[in-house]
Amino acid sequence: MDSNLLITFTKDWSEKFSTSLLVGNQISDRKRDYDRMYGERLNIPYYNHISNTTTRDNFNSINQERNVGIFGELKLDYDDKLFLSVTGRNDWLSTLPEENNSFFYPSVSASYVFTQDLFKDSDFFSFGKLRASYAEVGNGPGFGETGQYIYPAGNFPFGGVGGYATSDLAGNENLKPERSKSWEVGADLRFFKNRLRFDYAYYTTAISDQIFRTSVPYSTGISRYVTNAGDYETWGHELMIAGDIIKNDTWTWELIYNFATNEGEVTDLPDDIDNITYAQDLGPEIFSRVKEGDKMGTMYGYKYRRENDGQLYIGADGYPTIDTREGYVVVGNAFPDFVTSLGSNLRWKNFSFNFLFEWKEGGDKYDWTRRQMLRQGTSKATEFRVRTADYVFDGVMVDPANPDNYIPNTNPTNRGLDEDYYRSWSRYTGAAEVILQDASWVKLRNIGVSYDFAGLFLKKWNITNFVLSASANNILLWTPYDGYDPEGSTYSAGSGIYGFSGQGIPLTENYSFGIQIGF
Amino acid sequence: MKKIIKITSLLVAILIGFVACNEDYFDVNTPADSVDVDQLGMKDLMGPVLYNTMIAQYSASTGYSNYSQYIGGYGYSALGRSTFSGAWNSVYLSVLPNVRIIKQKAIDLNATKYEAVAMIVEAANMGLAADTWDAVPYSQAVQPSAYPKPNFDAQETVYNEIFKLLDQAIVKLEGTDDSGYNLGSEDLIYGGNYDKWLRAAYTLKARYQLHLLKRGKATTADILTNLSKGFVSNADNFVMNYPTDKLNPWYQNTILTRNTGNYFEAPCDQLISMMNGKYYPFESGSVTEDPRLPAIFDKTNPADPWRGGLNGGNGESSDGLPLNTYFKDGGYYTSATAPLVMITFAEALFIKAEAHFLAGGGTSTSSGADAAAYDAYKLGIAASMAQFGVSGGAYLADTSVDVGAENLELNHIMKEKYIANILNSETYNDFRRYNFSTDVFKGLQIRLGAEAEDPEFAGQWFKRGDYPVSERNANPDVVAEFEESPVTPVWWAQ
Repeated sequence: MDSNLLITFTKDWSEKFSTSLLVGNQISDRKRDYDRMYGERLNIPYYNHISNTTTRDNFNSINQERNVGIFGELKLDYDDKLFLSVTGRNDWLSTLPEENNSFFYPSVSASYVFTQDLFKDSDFFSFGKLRASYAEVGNGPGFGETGQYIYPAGNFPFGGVGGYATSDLAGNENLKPERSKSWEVGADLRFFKNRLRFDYAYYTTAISDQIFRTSVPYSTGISRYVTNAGDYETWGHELMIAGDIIKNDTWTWELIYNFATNEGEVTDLPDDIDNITYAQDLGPEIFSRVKEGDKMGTMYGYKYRRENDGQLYIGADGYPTIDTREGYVVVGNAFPDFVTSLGSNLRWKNFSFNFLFEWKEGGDKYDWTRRQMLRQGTSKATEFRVRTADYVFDGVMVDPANPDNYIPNTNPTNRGLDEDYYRSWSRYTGAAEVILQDASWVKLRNIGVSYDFAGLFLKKWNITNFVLSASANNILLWTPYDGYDPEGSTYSAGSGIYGFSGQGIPLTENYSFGIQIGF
Repeated sequence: MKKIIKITSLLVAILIGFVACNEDYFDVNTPADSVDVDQLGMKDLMGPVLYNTMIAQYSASTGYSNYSQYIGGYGYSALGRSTFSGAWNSVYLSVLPNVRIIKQKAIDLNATKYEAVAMIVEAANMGLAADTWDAVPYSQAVQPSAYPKPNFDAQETVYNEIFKLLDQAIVKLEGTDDSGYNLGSEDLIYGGNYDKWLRAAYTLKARYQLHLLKRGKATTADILTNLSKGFVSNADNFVMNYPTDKLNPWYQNTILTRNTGNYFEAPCDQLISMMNGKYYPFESGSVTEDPRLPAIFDKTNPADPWRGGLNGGNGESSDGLPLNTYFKDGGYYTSATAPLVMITFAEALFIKAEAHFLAGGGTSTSSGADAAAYDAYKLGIAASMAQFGVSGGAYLADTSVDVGAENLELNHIMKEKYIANILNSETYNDFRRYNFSTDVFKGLQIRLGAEAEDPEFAGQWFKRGDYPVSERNANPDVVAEFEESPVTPVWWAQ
């Protein structure tokens, strides 16, 4: 159930100065009632109905979230060149503890169209606007995440005996709302009668009291604890340059260039929380994890042990080995250095042709599929094998004459370089150098042509519009990454988890042909 | 116009006021299927506690039984180093938090015998934990507010606590309880029979004391005293039978998984060679195989001899031919309603036989024991035969089994215990107590390593579990302090 009540007051105080005030109230009440019935072992084969099963299990849960907000927005507009907007909102959430369930957050934004004062009627500088804004937002947890509950136990009823057990999830009973505070400054500049356009923004967001499911030792009797776990900041630049290179009746050609960066840093974690782990793969022991001071997107794991300026250390058994002496260390970062793209829209009479190139630079990724292939010997990386035991790795070994010194390795492997080596976690697949890859890429995201039959025979057939088009997506890729499309991700886009791939369906290449007719 | 605005504003104010002031409106954050701890009785928690206790045993045994070469993946694949995380999760997430609530409720209600059962269950879980990982969280475990990063207790400390729990439970069960609260059908082990729980406490105590013999922290006399008050028949066996609407997990991961083309467990050569006359050739001529073999296993061609896979091999048995033996659909351990087993009367008798054997000066290589040791040995075999529902008369009479007290060796006792305890986690403790000795466990060979995950430990027996990654992640400093190589013996085996 959603209820919105908005009241707007507008007043023009003079020719140049106008205001509008909006006040509102929003009530949302969401209730989800899940019922599931599960049956197995059919009496009559192929008769698929729940009544035909001999063991049944049913489940019901009801989640309800209520949110009440009141808000107001005051907008001031002076002479179409100075704009100011101030908002304020107070929310009450049912998912927060009663004493913390009310929170207020304001925002303010201002912009100035300076071409109204300077460069007036200039053909060169056709439009210029500067803008700045500040906004706060508050957020609550999900349903039933505070406190600890006792539920019907898994696998019960058991032979007619019912039972309950504590949940292994618990949440802070004094949970506070998560807050974010963002600043943004930017400019929108257009030249030559809007034919050349620049838009630039710099933003910074500070999130405090992040609500997070922290990992706790299972020996506490719980596995996850929802609490306000720390502060972090993110910031980035966004630049867009677009130009109409050619613009006349027969030809138009527009180029659009985008460039964006985004990075972040964990500024504070509570003392009793060593790290926040967003995702993990316990096979190779690779984690998307941050500690205080880390960049967002940091990946942890093990690296090869190296000595003497990064040379591979080879043990007495003749093999390299991962270095577990310091525990998990930073092995990479899943966030890209930048993402940039170039798009083109070209039209000649009724033909149009467009394409979009994208380039993501940097950002490490672990591919689960590749690890399986390494372990099963189906990856080309495991092609090199030596069956005899005399293979000698390049690297350094401990000097037998002086144990504090390292000399070039002469220890032969004791088993050769066979499938056991490629399957070995401590010698091969556990090393981030092997399983974590640079997932940079350049790809032709999209290319397409179309023809618009405007005016040819349309009138006669009473057709307002007739377009034929063909396009292809995701068809060309340049990347150093070994595996499926490096853009693929095990976790969904909204999860905020990066750096893992190979457990989902890879992105598809697709080709489409279209006919569009309008009557 | 002004009037309308006024009225609307008033309505808004009333609505907001109504909603915001009514605090009950926001009191909808409790999951509908959850209950409050005060609503629960002890009986509501006991069923899952016992169930998860047995699941912890099962979970540990899927790994232990590979180390003790009862089973391998497909009958041969060897287990590398392991964290036994399933057992850790069962003990710390499922059992202990709920045992603590039961205990508190029992104290509040003065239900001393109910509390005693909770104590025995807690002791058995901590025994499994300490035996698997050596030092484990106990004194600071399952108190998340007070100890968000529990320190670990040394195995010796945990053992002292186990004995304290068992001793207190024994006192309570031997005393009177007039609280009116009794165990009922939620007791998935004994159906509410406190006398059986009392005998179970004594028998478990003997089992744990046996582990400490090497350390001199217990004597054979202690063990025999406790056993004299322990199990008296197979009716005392600490087992949980599966009801018809659930599937025994061994059934699932031997029979169902094999039928559906998935990874499954099957017996190893070491176990089959103990039972088919290979290590202990039958001498009477009237016995060709251990009668328990066909009660538990099946082979692809009934005319062929029984062959298990060499642990860590490629599917071959010790006679060079491919393995042909699998768990039997409907067998003792692998029917849908088969029991999960903690400890049995037969094991109690083999502990007794071993204690008498050692008390009489016996060693791993000596021969001959007193009548008490020999009687317990033979009674243990008879108890095991009865447990598996087979007739053991001819087997017991065969001179390879009926060796006579004057020829009894430790390996005879341990062979029979090994067979009686198939899939029981205790066997791995026996292996570690005797350091995988081939004097004690005839024919025992280390895994071959054809599929070895980690060549670092090739040729070495795994002697403990690694701490689970969940603990290493969230409690790294404590784990680092207690972590040892998986080939380092636990305290009581050192």
